[in-house]
Parts: sequence; structure tokens; C-alpha cells
Amino acid sequence: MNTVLSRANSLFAFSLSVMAALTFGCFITTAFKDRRVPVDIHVSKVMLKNVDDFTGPRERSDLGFITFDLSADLQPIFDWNVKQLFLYLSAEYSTKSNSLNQVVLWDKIVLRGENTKLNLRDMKSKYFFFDDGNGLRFDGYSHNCFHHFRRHYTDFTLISIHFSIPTAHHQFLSAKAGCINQLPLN
Amino acid sequence: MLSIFKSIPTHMDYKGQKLAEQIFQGIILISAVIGFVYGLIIEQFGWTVYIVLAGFAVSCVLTLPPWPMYRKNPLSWQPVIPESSGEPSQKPQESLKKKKHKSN
Repeated sequence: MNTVLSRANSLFAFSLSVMAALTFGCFITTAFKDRRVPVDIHVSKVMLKNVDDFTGPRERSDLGFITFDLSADLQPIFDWNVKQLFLYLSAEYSTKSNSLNQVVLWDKIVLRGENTKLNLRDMKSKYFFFDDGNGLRFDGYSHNCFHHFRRHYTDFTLISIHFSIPTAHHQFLSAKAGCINQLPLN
Repeated sequence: MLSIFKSIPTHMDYKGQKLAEQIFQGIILISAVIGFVYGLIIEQFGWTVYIVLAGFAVSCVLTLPPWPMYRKNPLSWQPVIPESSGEPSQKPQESLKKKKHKSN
């Protein structure tokens, strides 16, 4: 500590260690927080078509069109360790040919500082709801799950709604989804 | 250009060094605690970093330059013994050479 450089070295190293301890403290205060929020999803229109699937070698696959309403308040999830939220709505169901299918229908990125109250009405699905084959017809219950995926120390919450797809093609069915507000983590 | 920097005296006494170390550790720890609590309250980690950096800057100013408060306990050196002739200075050199021979 006799020279300026030696003192500067010591000072800087100490500051860096303290900074590392603070970062760990930031992590430890938010790692075990419960990040579940109630979500309201309502499916207003379901339409089914059977078209040529141009993305694969299959001949004709089921294509579903879903119009839904979604409302949620994401404010409790944002804290000093969350920088952005990646939300996505995916349909999870089983068919005769596949035991588990997951198709992402819609997604959204919510940055910190933006409006956290989501109140979406009559949203069309962003991505094609193509099925691997012809399995979207009504075979039983179609289980649709809403996931949200958090950026930076990630975690996800599962909220599922059920709705059924029409048995015949080109049939417009107004299906009301049963909303389940909070489910335990998977 | 470096000779200009080297000619500026930057030494501190031992007690001054200990005081400097305590000062900067104390300042940085206090600013870390304040920053942590403030960042936790307003939910932004950026402010925590800013407060710690401010504490770092303050302690830089307080401890890096050799302020007079760090030179209050200078070491008491013995007075310089004036050399009478060239002989006393040669003898220590000879004894050094002998010691080097022995160690080899």
C-alpha cells in the first residue's frame, strides 16, 4: 500500500468482491419467489380446415384457426431481477399417431417498463396451428396450455384451458373455455 | 513523461496505510449496504451499481492521493553517519564478496 498503484489495486479488488456479493444478494432475494399470476383466457372462435401442408412431405394436414381473448396482470412478476417476459400460448394435445403434441400459437415479449396489464381481445393465432396429420378432429378433450417463460433466471407457469375442436371440418363453433386460474408448477 | 509521475511523492506511513485501508473498506461497505437496500426498494439493480460506483469514486479520492493525515506518524530513521574516508565503504563490499564465495 505504499504506492498509488498498490492502493488502487487493493481498492478495486475489494470493490469487485463487494459487487459480486451484492449480485449474489440480488439473486438470492428473488430466486425463490412465487411467480404465478391468474390468467383469463377465453376462446371465441375455432375453425378447422384440411389443407396441403407445404412445410413437410405429408399430403394434407389439419389446420386450425383459433381466436381468443386473453387478460392478465403481470405486474407482480416484474422485480429487480426480471428484464423481460416471454409469453407464449401453446396447444398441447394427444392424437392417435402422437402421444404428445405441442404447437405454439402465439407469443409476445413484454419488456420491463412497458405496460404490464394485458387485455387482448379477439386475437388471432400468430402461427399456423398445423397438425401432424389429421388429428385435430374431436377425439376427446383437447388440452391447451398457456405457458409463460421468463427471461433471466427463468421459470415457467402452467395454466391450462380446455376447449374442443369441431368434429367436422369447416364448422364454426363458439367454444367457451374453462379458465383455471392457478395451477401448481409442473 | 513517466519520470514526471515517478517524481511525485506518493508514500504513506504504515499507520497511514492502515488508516487508508480502513477508510476505503468502510466507505465501500457502507455504500454497498445503502445501494442494496435502495435497489431492493425501487426494484432496479442499476441503482445499486451506481451507488457502489459512487462509493468507489469517493474512496478513490480519499485514499489514493497521499493526504497529510496519512503522514502523521513518520518512521524515525537514524541520523546519517558521515563517511570519514573511502575505507569504511570498501569493507562492507569485501565482506559481501566473501559471503558470496561461501554460499557458492
